[in-house]
Amino acid sequence: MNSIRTLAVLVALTAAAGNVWADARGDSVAHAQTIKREQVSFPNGGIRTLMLAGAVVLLGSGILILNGVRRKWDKDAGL
Amino acid sequence: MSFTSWLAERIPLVPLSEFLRTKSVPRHRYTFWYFFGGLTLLFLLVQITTGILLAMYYTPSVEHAHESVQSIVNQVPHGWLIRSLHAWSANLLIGSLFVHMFSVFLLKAYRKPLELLWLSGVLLMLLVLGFAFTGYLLPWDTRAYFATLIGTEVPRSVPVLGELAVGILKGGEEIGGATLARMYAIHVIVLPLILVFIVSLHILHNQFSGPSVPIGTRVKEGSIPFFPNFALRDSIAWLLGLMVLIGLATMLPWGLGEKADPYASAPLGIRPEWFFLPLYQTLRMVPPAVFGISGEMLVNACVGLAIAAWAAVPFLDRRAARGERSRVFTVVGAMTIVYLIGTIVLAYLT
Repeated sequence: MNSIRTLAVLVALTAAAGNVWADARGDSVAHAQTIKREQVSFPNGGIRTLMLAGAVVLLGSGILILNGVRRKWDKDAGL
Repeated sequence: MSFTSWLAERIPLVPLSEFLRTKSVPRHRYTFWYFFGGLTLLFLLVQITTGILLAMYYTPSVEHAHESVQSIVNQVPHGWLIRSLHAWSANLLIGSLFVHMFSVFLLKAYRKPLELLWLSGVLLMLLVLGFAFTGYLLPWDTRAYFATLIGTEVPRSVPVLGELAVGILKGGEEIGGATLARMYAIHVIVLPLILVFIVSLHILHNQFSGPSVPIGTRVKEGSIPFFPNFALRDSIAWLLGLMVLIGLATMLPWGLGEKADPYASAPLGIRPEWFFLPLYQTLRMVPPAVFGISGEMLVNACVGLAIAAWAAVPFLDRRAARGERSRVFTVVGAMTIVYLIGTIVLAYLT
């Protein structure tokens, strides 16, 4: 339960920080669908923040699962 | 017959599983630094994967290189993300490689019997910097063009071999189609072939010799079995590394400058990437002539000697080879770190 709470807080913080960052650069969800920088365009900051939050959920879950398995194996190995 | 026993009849799996079962990692206060070798490998794997994907859409010609990169970012599905991951993982790869190398240096993990591991590591560092240099021109934008123009001129002052090296790199007097084709061929064929060979040797050597314990460090009781206990720790470090990489790639997507114009003048304030700044700043600090010798030639000679001495450290540090503390080499390592960071900061400030 603690792990899930940690993950939720991590995702919320990531999304908030990402949006603040995107806002500061003027490419938050409220702005155009894509941002143009120099010669190329990217999805806007809101979409990129969502992508990052998704990656944090996936990788964060992986870390929590692996850490749980590691603790069990460490205990079995007497570490 | 199960698949495992079918395979075991053809490939000697028992020694491998026995090796994995008995291999262990010592526990001490510096165990944390072992993770950076694995992280470097992770970023290298990301480089290879994203590099293959980029190569499917990239066109190595002066007319189309810039447009093909634009098309990768603007039109190819998730192309911007793949290119960002490639560019950021290159930076993280070099960063983690330097942390790994200096931690090995300061913990004296180069000492007997790991001399060849250190030598292959130094070679890998040079190869990775070669990748960074040859990959930099490929987008064919203004910054890449002028940075390569300056970079390819650096070896010219080296006696005998300098002109030859410049000729091989540039393929002519100017930076043009021949240069781009050569950089591309070196970046995607020559360097990867050498790299795969040396990385394989480096990893195999490391697996069979095991990690080195720093001199005088108290080892805790009960070492960590490599599989699965340490492998799980390594996997967690990889996931954290991936999180940092994805964070950088999504929040700071890699841009692209104007298409290079060889007839335009170099833009003001142009400087190479951070990992080439120590060399760049040193060249700026040394006067054009020192006691009648060209400053550029002097810097090239000093850098060549410094790299040779760095590679020869396991053979120079006789105290560490005997298992004794060698403070002189610790000071040299610390001073090198201060110099590298100092010149990078100076280059940004001036």
